Amino acid sequence: MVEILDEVRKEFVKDLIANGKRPSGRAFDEFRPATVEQNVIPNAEGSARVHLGKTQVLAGVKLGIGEPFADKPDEGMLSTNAELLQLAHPTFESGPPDARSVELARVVDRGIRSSSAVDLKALFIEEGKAWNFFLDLYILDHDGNLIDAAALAAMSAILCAKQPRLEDGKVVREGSLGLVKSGATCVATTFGKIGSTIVADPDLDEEKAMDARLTITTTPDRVCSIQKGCAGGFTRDEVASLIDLAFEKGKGLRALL
Amino acid sequence: MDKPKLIVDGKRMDGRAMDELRPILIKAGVLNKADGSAYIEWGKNKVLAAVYGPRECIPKHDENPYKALVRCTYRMSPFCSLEEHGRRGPSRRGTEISKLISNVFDTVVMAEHFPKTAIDIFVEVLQADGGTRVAGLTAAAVALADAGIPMKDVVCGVAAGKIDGEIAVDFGKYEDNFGESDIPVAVSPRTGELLLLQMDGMLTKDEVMRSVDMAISASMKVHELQVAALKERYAEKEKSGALGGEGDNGGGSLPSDAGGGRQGMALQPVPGDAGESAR
Amino acid sequence: MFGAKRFGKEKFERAGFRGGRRGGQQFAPMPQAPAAGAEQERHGPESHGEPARKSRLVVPGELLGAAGRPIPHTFTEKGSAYSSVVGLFDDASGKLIPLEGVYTPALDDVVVGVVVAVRFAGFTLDLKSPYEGFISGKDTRDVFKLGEVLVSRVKEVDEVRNVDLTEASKLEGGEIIEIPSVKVPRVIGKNSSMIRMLQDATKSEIVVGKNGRIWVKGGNSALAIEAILKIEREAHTQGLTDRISALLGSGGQSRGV
Repeated sequence: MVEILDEVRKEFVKDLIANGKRPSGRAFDEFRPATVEQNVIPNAEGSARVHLGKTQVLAGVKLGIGEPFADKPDEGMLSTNAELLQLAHPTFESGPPDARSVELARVVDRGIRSSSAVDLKALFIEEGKAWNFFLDLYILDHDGNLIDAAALAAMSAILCAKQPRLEDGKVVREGSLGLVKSGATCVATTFGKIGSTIVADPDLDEEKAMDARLTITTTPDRVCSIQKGCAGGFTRDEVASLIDLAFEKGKGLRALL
Repeated sequence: MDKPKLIVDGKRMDGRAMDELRPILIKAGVLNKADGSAYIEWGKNKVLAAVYGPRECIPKHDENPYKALVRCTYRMSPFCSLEEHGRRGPSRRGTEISKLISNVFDTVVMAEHFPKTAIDIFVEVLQADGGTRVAGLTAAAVALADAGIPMKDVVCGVAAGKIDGEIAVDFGKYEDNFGESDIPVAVSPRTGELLLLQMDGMLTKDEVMRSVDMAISASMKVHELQVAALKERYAEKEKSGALGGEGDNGGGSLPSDAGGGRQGMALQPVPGDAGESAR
Repeated sequence: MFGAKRFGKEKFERAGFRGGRRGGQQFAPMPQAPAAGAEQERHGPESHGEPARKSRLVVPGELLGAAGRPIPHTFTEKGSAYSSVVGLFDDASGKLIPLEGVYTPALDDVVVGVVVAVRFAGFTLDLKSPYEGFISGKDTRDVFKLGEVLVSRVKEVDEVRNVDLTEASKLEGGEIIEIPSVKVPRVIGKNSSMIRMLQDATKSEIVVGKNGRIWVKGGNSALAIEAILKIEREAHTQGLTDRISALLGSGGQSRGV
């Protein structure tokens, strides 16, 4: 249902942006303050909680034994799921993952997979047996840009994830364990287009007013995932300059890991 | 697996006495978007509760022309347990617990004040270690108060029962799994009325009543912590004078557990001295 | 906040959405409204200045004392009165000020609403409440449009909370701020003292809806909004009147008009 109030606010934000200001007073290329905390859920093998402005995301990692996928028989299995918890926003509903949460999970997953942030080969055990790497993204509080917050939480959880042992066919999660082998660190940076203006790290008000969205996930020197989301479009030159901005802003976020 | 000894030399696995609660920390107002919220750490349990409402009742055909529909959804995260990755999605156990908690609040919330609306309570178990339903409803009560929903009491819950032949209160996961009987209870502290009561196992009447009494007694201490959490939320605002706008309240949110210690929080286990929800 | 429709290019000096959550009471002087004093009597206990110095913080179920005449936000059982909400209770005056809560429309309340439905019979307004208001086509000559912001008075509330509104007029231009309605009495102040102080200092037009929506236009609206948001943050503290007076005197923080 189209919320009239949302429409009214949207117009307000669009006017504000057209006049060179963001509702939060930030510069157009400015990210909100972010914090990262690791190991917030000790029962999980790895976990992290991220605040990005008022957006809050919790990522949890669990490992278990499973059978490799037929098309990747010598690797472990990464499985990423996102839950837009009902407590995070008045409009989030219960039920199976909707398109929004599926896109969120897949975009975060793509960055991790492309950059080998989790070394899937190292999760292989023997023929027909490998580690399942379950990554769950729990959205706790939605104030815009869930992708960047979730990706940051995911990466942080990966970096502190403990690697369980296999002893006599049983999974052992206690005792001294090393960390899951990880590769590059990837960081997602999302930009929203409102009218002809592009803003970095759109908050919820800006998200509602934006036409198009571009998420660029980077390692220190490579682009590892791009997702253009929502309707609208970007010019070729805009994409090029946003890649530069992605590397720049990615540095700042990466420093929090 | 061999059944572990739950009681050794009169003490439990974690050193507690039979009537001793695990350390409990409660914080009110931890989320931005929700109308009310609360976070509880109870032993190793970590549970987040949030409330939206009173708000338009959806689906409309569920709406009651005389009072608000009070509904709770209780879920566990797939990474909440020490063992395997859990299921993603609702479970039958979760559905039952959701219903029971809904019933608790349907009794204490003054729902007649808000006909045709819905008051939605969400309980998310982030980490589980036995007793999540009572931890969840304890947090939910604080979240409801935080949302300004009129109630007759701030309800809380505690579980008691029998482990290794002894009546004891507040079971951790092992005690839950290997104990003989588990009796979760929710109490309205003001009246002593039992709003949630379940039991499994095989007990004599005397054992049941002793468990219930122990739970009621322990729940008074839990209630003190709930009240302290609510008062603390507003005392902060009073003292600092300008504790930011509505939005800032959620910024601090969930205390972290990094490195085994709780940052800036002192927890003292019960008894006598109820574990304070310290800063 | 959002703009009250974009008639004319209003320069939006103050940015930011204050998603107000909850409800309240009182109003500000406006052309058609009855005199402030008269309104106050009708809603006597709902307007206030600072909480009494010896108020105590109470929670639901907390004992207030022996039951006397009914006080809002309390209930009685067996001759005793108990609080039903988290609030400040003054034993001396027997007044209980709730600290949170949603707005419920009451007779004669002046409210600021947004048109969310246009029907043959009339207009439906969002009142920042679980209950919407309705203006009958017979009650107004105007034809309102979706998204327009109106100030109106509650004419009638029936047992199933159908809310009829009357004396509706459009608020054009300016900005809307949303605050919890429980804080509105503080924006009004005892005998409208606070709102008058704001209006005198800023020369802005200010319409305060009991439902927690406040419309500000003209004058030094940035300062008016800054002051209102400060009142919202510190509503239940001591010494607020002096601090607001100081803020208004100093002209506020420079916000790059």
